[in-house]
Amino acid sequence: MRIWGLSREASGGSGDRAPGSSAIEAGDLVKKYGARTVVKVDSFRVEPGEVLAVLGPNGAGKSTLFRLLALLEKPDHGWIRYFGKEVSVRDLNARRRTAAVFQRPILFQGTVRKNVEFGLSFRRFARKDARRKIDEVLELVGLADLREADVRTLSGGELQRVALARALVLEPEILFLDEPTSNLDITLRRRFREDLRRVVESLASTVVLITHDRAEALALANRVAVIKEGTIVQVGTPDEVFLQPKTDFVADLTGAETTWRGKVVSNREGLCTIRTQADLLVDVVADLSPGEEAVLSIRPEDVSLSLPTNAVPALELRGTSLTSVRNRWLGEVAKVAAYGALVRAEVRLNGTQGVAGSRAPVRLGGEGEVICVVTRASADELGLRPGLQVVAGVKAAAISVMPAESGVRL
Amino acid sequence: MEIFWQALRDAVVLLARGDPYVCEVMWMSVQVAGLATVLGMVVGIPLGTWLGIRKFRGWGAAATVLNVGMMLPPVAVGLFVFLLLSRQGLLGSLGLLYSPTAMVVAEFFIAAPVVGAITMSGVGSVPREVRLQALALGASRWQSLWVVLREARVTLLSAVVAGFGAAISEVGAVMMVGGNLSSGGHNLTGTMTTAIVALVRQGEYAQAMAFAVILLVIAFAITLALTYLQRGIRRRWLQS
Amino acid sequence: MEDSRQGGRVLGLAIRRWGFALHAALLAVLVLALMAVAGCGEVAAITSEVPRSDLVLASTTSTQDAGLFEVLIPAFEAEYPYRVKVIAVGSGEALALGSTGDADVLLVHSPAAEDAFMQKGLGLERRPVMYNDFIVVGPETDPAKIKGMNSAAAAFARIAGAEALFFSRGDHSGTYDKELSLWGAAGIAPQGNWYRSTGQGMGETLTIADQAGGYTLSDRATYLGKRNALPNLQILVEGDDVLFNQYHIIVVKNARNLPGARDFANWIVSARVQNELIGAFGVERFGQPLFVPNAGEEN
Repeated sequence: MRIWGLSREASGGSGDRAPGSSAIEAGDLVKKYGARTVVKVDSFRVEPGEVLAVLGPNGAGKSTLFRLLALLEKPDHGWIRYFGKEVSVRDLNARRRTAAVFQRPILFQGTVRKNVEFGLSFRRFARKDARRKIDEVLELVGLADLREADVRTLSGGELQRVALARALVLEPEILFLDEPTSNLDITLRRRFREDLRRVVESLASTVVLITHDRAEALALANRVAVIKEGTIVQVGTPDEVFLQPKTDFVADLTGAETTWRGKVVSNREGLCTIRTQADLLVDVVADLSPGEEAVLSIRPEDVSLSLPTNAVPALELRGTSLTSVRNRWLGEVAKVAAYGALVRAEVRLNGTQGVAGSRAPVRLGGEGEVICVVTRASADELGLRPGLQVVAGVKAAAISVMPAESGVRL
Repeated sequence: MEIFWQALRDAVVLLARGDPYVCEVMWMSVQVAGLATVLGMVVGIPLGTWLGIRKFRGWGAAATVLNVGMMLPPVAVGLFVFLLLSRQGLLGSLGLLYSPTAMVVAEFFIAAPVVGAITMSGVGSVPREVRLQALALGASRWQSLWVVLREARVTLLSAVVAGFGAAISEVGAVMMVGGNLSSGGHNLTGTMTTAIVALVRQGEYAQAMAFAVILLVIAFAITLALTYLQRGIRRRWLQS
Repeated sequence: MEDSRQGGRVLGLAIRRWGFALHAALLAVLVLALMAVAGCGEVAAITSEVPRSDLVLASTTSTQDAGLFEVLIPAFEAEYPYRVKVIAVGSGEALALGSTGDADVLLVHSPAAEDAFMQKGLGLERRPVMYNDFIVVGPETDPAKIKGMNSAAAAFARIAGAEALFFSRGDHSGTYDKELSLWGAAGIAPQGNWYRSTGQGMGETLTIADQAGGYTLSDRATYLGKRNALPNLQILVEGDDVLFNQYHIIVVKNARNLPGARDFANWIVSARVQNELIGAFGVERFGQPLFVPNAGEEN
């Protein structure tokens, strides 16, 4: 549901759009610092209303590209268009059609309301209109009851929301977000990301998101552009980029770890059993107490695939004590993508798994997906293809576990 | 030591009586230094701000010039202004020598670099992100500059105060271009500092001491103001 | 952000390229140079083996500005074991220093003030040393038309009448006392915007008169000595008897270095010093002595 419309007065610009034009279009963009070329993008496009994530490692030129597109820095070469109209650094009206949230946004001493007003103060805005807008946007980011709070008393996550509100209140046609969650603790990050997703979905704005966190890109974006050393190497939907990476670099970057959330069921001398949200039981090595919530992360290269040797799947998982791999699940290959010498496969688990030590398989009724990476040679030998029944196995020690603290004020 | 206390006693009497010559000289000092400081602000603040914000090809040279201007011995400045305004000098035909105008010119060249250099330092220490953030939220170039200046306002105030302090305490330059002239007991181009020199030379310790006392009070007030301001330089913004 | 990093990187590169060694070498050269300059004093002190005591001579700016001390002091120090410190102020200030004992011997030219000084018993002895004369100088344009007049007082009267710009010493110097006596003789109390006091020495007052185009009363010695730097001033009135300017040497009673003071007084009135040093001073450059020795006479 789109609730945040675009009002002409707020955008400061003419709000005009050439029909059928992209929200942002750029070409031949080059930026050098001294002798070093930091950004070299031949063409770039963001469609109206979409969320585009620019994904890349640190130092790839993301922030520079961000500043160029947001008209905060002058490119050495190239052109940029907003909705079909050519714009430049000097174009104040163009800049006022956008708003940006930085990685570490600067807030001024004062109340939350004062800070949110900041951007409005640059444009002529009627006071009472401002009041209403501020209330609305604070509601949107979940800070409604902190309107008069002093920013010094806020937590990191709350500060980030204030920065977001400050940008949103300007009703920008294009919203730029530079690493919005990078500055937050890992535990806060996820929560904020979810809220961000909710906000972004309700906006009519086009959103350009800069990040090095692929989970963020995956969670928020309609399209992902992967950037390496100043150049865009691949653009596409998250699926295209993540599962059909064009180069090793893209594949490395997108990683594709399997991430599950669950609750600790038992702890026997350091060996925990966790029931995931998808109702799978996973054995991990961790120091958690029963009842604690945890986030599990499995690297694709740690997942091994084997073909069930027994015709009856249920019997396959008996006698699991003969292998050291504690987690073994039956599943069906959903997708396969090859790149270079590796093959990536997505396996949908069908809720049948072996619990170590038991003789009968336990049907748990849950589903989950696990992503694994195997060598092409192995894939060929196994005959890996969509629809194939496989056993996915992960060692307990290979799973990384992080406590998920719920109830922490974000 | 007796001579000191005697002079001090006489000085207090002079001040209490509100001796007209003393008042005129004091007013001249404040006027000339004040005007010089205002002109110094008009030139120094924009220049310092520009150098504090932008880095361009000649930046190093320009910043050095400003800093050198601040470190330049004021009496050298006086010499340059004197030669400039003397009859044989470039602007000699204006007949400005030995007038309050000449004194303002000399003190301007002393105050302006101080204001400019401190402004440059203050504006330069406002993080670049502040300006960028303002621009990113729709500020025009001028509006973003205003935001930066507002952040640096305490340092800017210190710059002005320091400039005034440098101007009002100047002796040599003002003596050279002003001449410490008086006419029939009324002050023409004397300032407190030059008057002290002349009076000591004449053995008029009481009057000299009177001016010294006033200057001390002013210096004290300036130092107090600067200290108070410096304590006020706390971070005005938060970075999350 | 990137820019300042760039700047820092350039600076670091420069230092690295120049090398720490080169910087250290430059610093060493600088330190050695400073030591050499400072050492000059040391060296000079070492070569003069005679232990010297300080002698404070307070005199007037006119004598100093004329350059007489640059001849007298080295000659005196060559014969006597003293280190002479010359303090050049107005006659009034010099006498004040004598009264407090901050000066040992005085060379001044303010007869009335000197009389008062001696009457208070502040001086042990007072002897004439030399004389010169005062002159009235002014701009070439001479707005008050006083050039060539015989009477200085009358010239002053004309200046006042024309309200021409006049610069007075305005301090307690011998020159100022003379100026006041001239106004007195003319029966005029000068006041008005045309009459300005500088409160400074003769040299500075001449410069001001030269630059501003005004008249002033000066002693001949100072004027001649500074003539090249005073392109706009001319001698307009001279020779009047009343412009006679006598210098005396006074040994201060409260002197810290009494023997030194006596030695100096005796030395400066000695025949050789009178004829060869004082009498010859300025002859080569100006064709006439700036000061006429008259130690033998009493005025």
